[in-house]
Amino acid sequence: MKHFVIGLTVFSVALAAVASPSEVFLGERIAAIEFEKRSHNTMFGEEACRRPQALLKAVKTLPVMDQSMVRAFVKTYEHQIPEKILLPLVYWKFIKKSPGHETSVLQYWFQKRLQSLRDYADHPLKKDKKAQADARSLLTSWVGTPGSKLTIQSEELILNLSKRFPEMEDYSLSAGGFRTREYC
Amino acid sequence: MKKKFFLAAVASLIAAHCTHKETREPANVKNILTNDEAQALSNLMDTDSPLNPYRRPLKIQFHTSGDQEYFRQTAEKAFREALTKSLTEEGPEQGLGKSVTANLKEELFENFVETLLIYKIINIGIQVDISFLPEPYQNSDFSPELSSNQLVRFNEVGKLSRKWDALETPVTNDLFGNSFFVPKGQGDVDYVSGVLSLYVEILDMDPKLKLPNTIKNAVKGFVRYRRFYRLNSEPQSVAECGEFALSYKSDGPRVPFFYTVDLYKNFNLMNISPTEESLEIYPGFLASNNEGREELMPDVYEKAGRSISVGQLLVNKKQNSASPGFRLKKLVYDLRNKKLDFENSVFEQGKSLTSERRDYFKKCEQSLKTFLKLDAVVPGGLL
Repeated sequence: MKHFVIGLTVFSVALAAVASPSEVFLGERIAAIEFEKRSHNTMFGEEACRRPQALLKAVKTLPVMDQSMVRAFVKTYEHQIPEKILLPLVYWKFIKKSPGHETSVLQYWFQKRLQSLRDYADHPLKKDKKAQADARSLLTSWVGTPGSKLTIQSEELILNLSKRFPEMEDYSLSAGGFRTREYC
Repeated sequence: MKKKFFLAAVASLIAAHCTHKETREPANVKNILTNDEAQALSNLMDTDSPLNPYRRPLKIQFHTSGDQEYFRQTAEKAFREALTKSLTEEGPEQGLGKSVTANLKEELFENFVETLLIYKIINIGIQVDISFLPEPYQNSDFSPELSSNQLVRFNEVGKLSRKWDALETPVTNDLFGNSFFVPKGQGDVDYVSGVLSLYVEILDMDPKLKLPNTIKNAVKGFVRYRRFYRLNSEPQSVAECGEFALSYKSDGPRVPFFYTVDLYKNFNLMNISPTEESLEIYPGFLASNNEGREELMPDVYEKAGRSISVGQLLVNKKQNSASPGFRLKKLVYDLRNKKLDFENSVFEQGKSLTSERRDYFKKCEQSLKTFLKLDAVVPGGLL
């Protein structure tokens, strides 16, 4: 848990450093890769975190009252939380209860949102430069958020990015760090 | 030889489903299959195409007659192990290709039974249902492919509870609704979908029990090729035949007429020619997976789902309106004699005399066949 917070802080600092686009900051790349590696077991280690079928099977082992709670939770949040995040979140919240892992899942989600925002802000082929600058400033304002304070209701997690930046991709492929303008 | 038939069915299904060719031709299968089996298999596998607006994904379900979770899990494990062993035995680069050949199919079955014996699953029936039910499909939508890895996509939302619902409802429940994705074709009937079920039971061969004919009885099982067809036109309302009148009443306006056609093949360890084979037709009926032979599972209603009736076929006497008549539910044909098996066919409203029913079938079998367009459902002069 502690490592997670430290990891995210390092990465957040790194994100701020990339605001100057002509430099490649190796520390940030390493931090991003390390973060990905550390999160992997929490996010995708258990089968129930990867496959809806396996999660359903695990849910069915819970007492009936808890099962209906899980179903209600999924019904409420499934339109907001991507499935790849929702599966581990349900797993750590209801099946193997662990608040630490639950926060890690939210941090991972936040991390992915930051990365895709950054990919968009740095993208050389997007037309709307003003929106890209907006995205950059939003990114800068978000990087300071401490990972441990994230909740499902946090503005950082629920703000509809694709509505605000229509040109933005809905995923980030660059797990290994930032692509700066130098490389494009 | 029955083993081969069974194996041909499973392995070719699995192998053929992995390819994305427009026409799917299982190699070396047809020569070891009888015509009716080959026809059933090609219906189940060859009719799917990535260009259609629907697809029929392969889904496997396991059932065991012991209700302990242990048996179900072990049976599932045994099946997977047998499959893996058969596919990888010749080295990974050859495994899949070779698995299509008849020899390896035989091995698949042997491995399966062998593994079941190792785990001591005896006196317990095991059923594997391999279903191909239609689902809407857009070939421009790559979500299934994209969600196969760990990429987090923010717009992949709102589907989890629907996925869970689909997993919890019995497979045949969606069949009626989803059948509309299969467009009307040129012929009299359209093939809608199918389910291949295999049932295996290994009997306790303890010498103390002194069971007769050990080799023949050690393993008992059967394969059921089930196909669902839809009639392309409105069925006639009445067909008269001598003193009888056969009438059809649909359960609702514009409800199409469906058939469930089951082909049963038995097998046991002795490799003898099939002891009994039958073709069973349910006119106006979409049968759930456990409908049919007694052994078939699951026996819990929630898991099996409900069979759907789309209409009633009634036979009445024209002259004698007081005669209650009877309802036709299932027609069973004995494939060895190519004859209607009156004893096993199912009729309802049992007040009518057995002699009356027998009389009807004696005189009007041909008229019934024409009325139901059975030639289209069971082609090739099988009946």
